[in-house]
Amino acid sequence: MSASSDHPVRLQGLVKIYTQGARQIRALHQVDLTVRSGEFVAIMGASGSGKSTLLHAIAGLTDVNEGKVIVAGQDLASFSDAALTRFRRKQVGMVFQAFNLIPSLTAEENIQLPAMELPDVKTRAEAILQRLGLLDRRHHRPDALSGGEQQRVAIGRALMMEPAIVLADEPTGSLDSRTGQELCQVLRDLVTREGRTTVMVTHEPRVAMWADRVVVFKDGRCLSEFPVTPNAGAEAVALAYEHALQSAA
Amino acid sequence: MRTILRLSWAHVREHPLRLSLTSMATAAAAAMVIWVVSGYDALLKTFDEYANLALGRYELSVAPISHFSQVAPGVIPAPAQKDVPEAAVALLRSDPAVRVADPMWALQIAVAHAEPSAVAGRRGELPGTVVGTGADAAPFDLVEGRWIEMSDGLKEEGVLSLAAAEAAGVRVGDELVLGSGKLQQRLRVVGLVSSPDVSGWSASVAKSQTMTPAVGGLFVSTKLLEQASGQSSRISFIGVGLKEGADLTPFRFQWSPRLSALATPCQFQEAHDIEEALDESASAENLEFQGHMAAAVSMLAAFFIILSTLNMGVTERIRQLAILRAVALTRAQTALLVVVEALLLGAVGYIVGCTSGWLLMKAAVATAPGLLEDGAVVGSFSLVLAAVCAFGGALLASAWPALRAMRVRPLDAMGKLAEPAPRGIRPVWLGAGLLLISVYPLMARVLPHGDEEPFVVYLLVGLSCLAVGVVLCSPAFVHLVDRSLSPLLAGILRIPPRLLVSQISSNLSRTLATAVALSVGLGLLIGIHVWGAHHAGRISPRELGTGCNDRLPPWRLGARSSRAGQCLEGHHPGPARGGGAAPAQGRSHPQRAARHRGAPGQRGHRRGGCGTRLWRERAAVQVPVGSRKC
Repeated sequence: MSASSDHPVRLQGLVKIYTQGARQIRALHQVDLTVRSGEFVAIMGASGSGKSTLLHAIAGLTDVNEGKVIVAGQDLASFSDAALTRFRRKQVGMVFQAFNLIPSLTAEENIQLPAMELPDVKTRAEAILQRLGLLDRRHHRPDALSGGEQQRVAIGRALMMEPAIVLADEPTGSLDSRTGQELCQVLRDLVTREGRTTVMVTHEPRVAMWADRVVVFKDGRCLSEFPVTPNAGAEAVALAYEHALQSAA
Repeated sequence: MRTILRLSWAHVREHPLRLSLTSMATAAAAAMVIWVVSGYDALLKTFDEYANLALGRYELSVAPISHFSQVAPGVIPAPAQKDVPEAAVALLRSDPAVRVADPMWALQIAVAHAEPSAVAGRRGELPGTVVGTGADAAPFDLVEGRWIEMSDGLKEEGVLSLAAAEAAGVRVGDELVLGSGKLQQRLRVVGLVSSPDVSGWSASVAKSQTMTPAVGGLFVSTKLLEQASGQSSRISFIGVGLKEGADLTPFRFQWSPRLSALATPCQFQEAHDIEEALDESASAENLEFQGHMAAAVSMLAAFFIILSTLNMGVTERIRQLAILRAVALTRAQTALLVVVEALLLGAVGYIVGCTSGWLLMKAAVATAPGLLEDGAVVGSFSLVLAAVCAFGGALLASAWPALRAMRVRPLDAMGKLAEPAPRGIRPVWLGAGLLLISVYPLMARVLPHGDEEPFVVYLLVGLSCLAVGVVLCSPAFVHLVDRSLSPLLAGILRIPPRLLVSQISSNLSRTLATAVALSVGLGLLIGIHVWGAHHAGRISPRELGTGCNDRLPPWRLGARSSRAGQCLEGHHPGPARGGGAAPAQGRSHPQRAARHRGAPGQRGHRRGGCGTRLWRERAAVQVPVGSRKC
């Protein structure tokens, strides 16, 4: 097994600096992280801790000032803008907090979006709709779907190209707690049944508890990480998170 | 590409009302092009058909070169230069290849019904151009009756063109009066010929610029025309028929230098010469120019309408575009998405516009059958030009929004988009804008009016300055309106004033696009009006050519005509008194314009002592065809 298939995500010495006027903000500070194949990693941290920036860096949505981002064995810095887009389309599935569906397309068309040029697009989309329980909602536009359904459509879109990695940015942030838990179950199933590598950003312990490993972020640094046992509840995760923060302090 | 097409179509359908309005506006622009250019196409087709038939039974026509072009710049041809020398007839007849060489004299002279009461109810306009001839056969096919008996000296007979007879309600056997006053001659219509005709004002003007038997509405013997006009006969042109087997090309080649060497240089006209002359005539050029202007204005309209719609769409869809960039599309594909959307809008406008244009033409033909000779035919050129306007406008309009779409970053989808902060008034922009706006009126005072070159300068320099000036001033005007009217409007609408202010000031780019559209549109309108009004002031009915007599009721003519003619400065009725004639032109020419300006009283006489009626009567005075007073 090659290193790239063992570790779909490898981050080495990542530094990201934002400039606001004369002020420089260090969003990521020498971050190293490796995600194993088929692993479900939750990145936890408070607002402004740099967790979303980290996710954007993995997706190639933002350039880093220093360090290397290697996804599916490819150094993202070596890509041109167009090549990076093509790479992202094939290898990275993304799920956003605000669903970010195209309002003028139906649920099925939204799912098909990254793969519309493929000849088997319809078959693929149908299988995903079936898997996510959305077959009866396939012809509805996003405004006719509930929040949970919209996020499932977004997950379907992320899975359409059979990506090496799925990135989820606060996927339950716009959902009520029950729907949020249902959605976490969907993500968990993807990892357990299909071995889909998933990196999720969240600040909620009850969402992070579905992961295999939690990485704690603060002030752009990776403070620590802890494994999550299969039956660990939200409280256990919350305690471990608090402990990680206090240890660093 | 499938992704792009599906997304573009989805975007277009997202706002049905916007799609409808944009398409309607683009359609109106395309329909305008179809209408104007099809009119031009129809005119050219009419010319084509006319040119093929205008020579009748002759293969060639010989006419003075001076009739078709000026002898030298600024020089008005003398009367002798407008007639074919008699020697030419004998010379041509001596050629063994020549079957017939018939001299013809075309003259504008009053023609009236002999007994108006007898034709009451079916009386229309009678032809004003009479052709005197000694030919022993009709120049065109006889559809009824017979040709004039030429062997019998002064035979009081005439043959009318079928179109003129139908228009005037004249039948074979009816009597007409030729000429006016003591000289008038009665004649009987003995036959009708199917001579070709062109309808429409501009076509009539163009027709007068060629010399063929088709210029005549009524054919009489030369002697009768001499009697009725009191003039000695002249030769306006010679109809030349060749014997069977004679080759036209070497004949022309052999005779051209000899005709040029005559006392009055002459030249041949064949069907293609006639068509070329008609196509190049001022009236046709005018219509062509109008067509191009309509196309340009339509393209501008389509450009601004689609630009406004697309720009609005990009602003609204920044987040969507960012998502697309994040999950599916490259920069180029994002730009292509906008371009395809523009082309879709253009396509809808084009299809609807062409259909509307065609329906408009059908409606026009139904209400005025003579308007378009061949009915509602949409030519391929008009379709191509409309396509250039709709799709060219769409492509141009998509450039800026596509660039904006390309600049959208995937990260824009992740966070909340910041509202653009409204900018305040920039005094430098305002000053520069006002300075540029003042260029247009200043040019109007400094530059001469009316000729083509200044018009182009007005168009290019004046309008450009005006447009850029308005653009530079727009932010200041928007802020002024914002500050002065927003509180009032907000009070009326009962909404927070700050909300209204932000809505107006935050969309400055849209305001600018609207300002440019309005300024260019208004500028063009003003330019065309000024240009058109200036030319209209210069044209008198006499300049309209052979058809001018047709438009005057014969019962208004009488003994006063000769007095009327004497009242006209520079005009002296009679064979040797036609000085001052110039080829009819509907459009300006620098030398002609100079001549007009340099001829004192020529424009003023319309408002002189003779009065309006006199001016009307003047048009009925006998004028050799091809001669026009300025």
